[in-house]
Amino acid sequence: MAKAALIGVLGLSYSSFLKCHPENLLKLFNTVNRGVVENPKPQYPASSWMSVMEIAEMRGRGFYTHFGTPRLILESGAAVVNLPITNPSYGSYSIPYDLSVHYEDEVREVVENVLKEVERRPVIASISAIDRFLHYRPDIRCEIYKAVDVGIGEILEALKDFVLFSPYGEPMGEEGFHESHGVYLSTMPRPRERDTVKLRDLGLLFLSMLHSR
Amino acid sequence: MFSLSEDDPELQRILDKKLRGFLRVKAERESVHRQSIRDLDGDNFKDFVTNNDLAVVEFWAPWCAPCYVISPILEELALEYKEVVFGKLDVDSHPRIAEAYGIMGVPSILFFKNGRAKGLLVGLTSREEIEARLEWLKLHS
Repeated sequence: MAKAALIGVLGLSYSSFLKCHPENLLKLFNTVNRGVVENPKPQYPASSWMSVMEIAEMRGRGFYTHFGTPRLILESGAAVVNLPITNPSYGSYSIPYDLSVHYEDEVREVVENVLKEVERRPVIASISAIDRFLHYRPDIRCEIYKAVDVGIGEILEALKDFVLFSPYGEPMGEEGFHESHGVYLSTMPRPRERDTVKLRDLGLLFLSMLHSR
Repeated sequence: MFSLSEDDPELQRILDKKLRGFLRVKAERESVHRQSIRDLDGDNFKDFVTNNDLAVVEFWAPWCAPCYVISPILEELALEYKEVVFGKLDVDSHPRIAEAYGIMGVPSILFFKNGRAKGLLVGLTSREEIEARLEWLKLHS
C-alpha cells in the first residue's frame, strides 16, 4: 500500500527559508508542487486545524473540549498524531500546548508515531514546536527549524504521497498573531496554482490524493 | 503566604505578562521594518519611481511562494540602503503596470534610476545579486 500523510507544521514560514536554510524543506521547495496557505489574523492553532479537519472555515480562540469525530478522519480513515484541536493535543501522541515539551522531543515522537502508523493507514499529524516556542524564544528560530527539518526529512523519505503545510506563518508577538501566509508543499498538484490555498482546501486535497491512488 | 518558586502560577502569570510586553514591542519594531517597503498601486507607482534617485520594486503575487522567501531579503536591504527606496506591487491587482514594464513572472525585481528602468532580476534571487545590482547602479548613470 502506498503511504500517504497530511503533515501540518504550525508557524512554518517561507520567510525563514533563506535565513535558516532548512536543507530538506529547501529541496522540497525546488522539487514538488508548492503554494501559499492563506489564513487571515487572528489565527489560533485549534480553529485553524479544525478548519482543515472539518473542511469548513472555523473561527475561535480556544481549544475544543466537545466534538464529534472530525469529517476528515471519517472520510480518510487516517490515524491522527498530536493535533492541537484539544489541549493536550489529540491523537496517538499528545502534548500540552505550552513550553513544557522540548521541541526536539516533540519532533522525535511525532516522527516515530507517523512512521509506525503509516505502515497501516494514512496519517494526519501536526508539529507545534515552531508556534509553541517562537512566541517566546524568537532567538532560537533556526535551531527549531533544524529540528523540524530533520524530522520532516525522515517522515517524507518514507512516504509516496504527502501534503506538508502550515496553517499560518511565524508568530508575530502576541498569541493569535502570525504571518497570514503559510507553506504548502505537496506531491499533489492543485487545480488552480494561481490561487492561494484555504484551510478548508487542505482536507479536500488530502482526500483527493487518497482517492487518486 | 505567597510562594515565589518557579512553579508558582502567580509568578508565572507576571513573567508571562512581562514577556508579552517585550514581544509586543519587538513585533512593533518588526512592523516598522516591514513598513520600510512601500505598497505600490496605480496612484503612487509613477511618483515613487520618478521622485527618487534609486528605487527598487518587487513585482509579486499573493499565491507566489518564492515571493515570500525573498521578501525578508528586501526588508533587510531596505533598512541598510537608506538612500534607496523599496516598494512592492501586486501584479494580480495591478496587471497593467506589470505589463507596461514587461513583467512576465513573479517575483521580479525592477531597478529604477532617476525614473528609468535600469535592470531586472527574475525569480528567486540571492541577496548578493540584488546588492551587486544596487552597487553598480550607484556608481553608473
